[in-house]
Amino acid sequence: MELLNTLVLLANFVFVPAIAYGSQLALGALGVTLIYGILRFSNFAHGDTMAFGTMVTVLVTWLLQSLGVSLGPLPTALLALPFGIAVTAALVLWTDRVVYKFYRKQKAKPVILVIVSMGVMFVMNGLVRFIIGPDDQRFADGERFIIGARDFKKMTGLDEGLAIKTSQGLTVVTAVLVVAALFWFLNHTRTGKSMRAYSDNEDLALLSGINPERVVAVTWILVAALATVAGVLYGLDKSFKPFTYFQLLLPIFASAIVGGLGSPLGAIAGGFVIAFSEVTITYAWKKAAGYILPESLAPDGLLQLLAVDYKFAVSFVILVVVLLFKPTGLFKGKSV
Amino acid sequence: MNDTVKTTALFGLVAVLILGTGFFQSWNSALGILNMGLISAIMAMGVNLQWGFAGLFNVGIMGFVGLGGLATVLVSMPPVPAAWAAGGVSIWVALLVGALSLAAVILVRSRMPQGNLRAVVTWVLLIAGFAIYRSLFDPARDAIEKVNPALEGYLGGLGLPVLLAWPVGGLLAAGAAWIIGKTALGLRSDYLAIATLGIAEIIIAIMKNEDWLARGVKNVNGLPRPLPYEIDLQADPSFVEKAASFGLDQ
Repeated sequence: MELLNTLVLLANFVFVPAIAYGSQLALGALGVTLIYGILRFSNFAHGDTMAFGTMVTVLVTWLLQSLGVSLGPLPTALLALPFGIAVTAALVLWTDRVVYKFYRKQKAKPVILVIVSMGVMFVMNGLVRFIIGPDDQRFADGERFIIGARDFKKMTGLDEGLAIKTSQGLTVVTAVLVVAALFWFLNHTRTGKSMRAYSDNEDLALLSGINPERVVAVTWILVAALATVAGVLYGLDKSFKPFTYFQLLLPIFASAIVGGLGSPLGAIAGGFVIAFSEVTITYAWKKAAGYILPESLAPDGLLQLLAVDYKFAVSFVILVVVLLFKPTGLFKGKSV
Repeated sequence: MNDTVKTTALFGLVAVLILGTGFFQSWNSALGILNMGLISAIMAMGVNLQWGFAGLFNVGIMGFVGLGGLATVLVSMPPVPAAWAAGGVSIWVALLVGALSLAAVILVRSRMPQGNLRAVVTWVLLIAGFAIYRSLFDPARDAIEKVNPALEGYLGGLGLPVLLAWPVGGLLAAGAAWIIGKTALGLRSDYLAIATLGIAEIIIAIMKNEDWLARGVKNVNGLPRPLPYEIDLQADPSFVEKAASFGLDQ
């Protein structure tokens, strides 16, 4: 009984949130890794691309809600998602046309592109704050929980409840579908194969007649879709606030680098590594230890390794450790 | 138009704008803008040196700026004796224990032969060091933060002249830079940008959350200045007389 209670407690406060957060990070890191693999720079504007896509989705969600459209138990944001993706794709394609293309033609060094992407980041940042404002926006509707804590307790008779939010279930299902679709696209379609060829060896790909502008455009569209999906899922799970999305940049970069930049599989693994370490290190283990340990050994403190405010620091420390001991990441990404 | 003329003209334009703010809006905002501009110029010179001469792209300037601010508090504010009595010594002992256990881990990893034994010793040292550090640190921190929380709740500084904050802040920033250099130099330039951003965010997170150090997000009021405060100048008859002799008295 004690053991079951501990497991449920951990599932409720560690596994479920970490899996949902990890899926969101993985989707974000996939976008970063695609840009890195094909355009060969670290895109600092990714967090704000996520914020922009989410903002469009939020606005369309509000419109649909005011029209009385809903998906029943599922959040209306799912209906708005395609609009968000379309507008974001248009924005990043336009950004590529007016900004990145110029530097690509010049064969600018990656670090120049990094700075350019920081400029794009600030512009997008301002755009989002200008349109929707810097405040918290809630746009989740529909059923709140798949299983509520009270129902779970009644069902199983345990002392601990397990609550799974709709947004968390939705995150995992969507992430699996999106990742499967992405891998199918990269491995089985002509365009996907040409993208991988371009990523592996640019000159060889150009020689074999791959149109670089087309590869770049498809990449940006994929990145816009991934960023919007990740941003909307994060927003449904927590809430939408532009500054939080800027801060997500750090764990997303950490996930992409830990997994190995340029490796899509690595980005997913990295996302979960970062999410699980952030959650386990900032979780207060007191109650779990109280169940497992005998009463005389029960701890006085919270057994929290680090305060929650340091969770971004955790992802960065992991990043540094990986950079020191395995500079190409867990999945042999591009060498540094 | 050659470069000298262009530069002079641009600086002249900025001067005209600042003077215009002074004449048409208020001299307070004009001085504020000038002040902010000069501070930004100093920060930009730092970036310019580092990126232009060394080719290292540093996104973490705000972290280093934050360390300079921290140095000002730690050097110039008077110490808070009640807080020191409550847990000043034990908090530093705790930090020392933490540092020593890290040093022990590094020593073990460099001296012992590779193998299971080394891994076990490393983990034992890490976990034990962390546990001892937290058991010393937590009560001391809580005690310090309970001392007059509305105004103090921190250890205070050393009460030294504020000008010393410059070299001390430089040393702190150099320490942070050494950590960045150890980890990220020699990697690709993108990684350096991400690493500097990360370390800057960590520094800011620490300064925001460690209230015992410099009150976190709460203000530290009344930092000493190397020059007199406005209010003292206004109360000083000889200064008022001098200002009147320039025709500034209104």
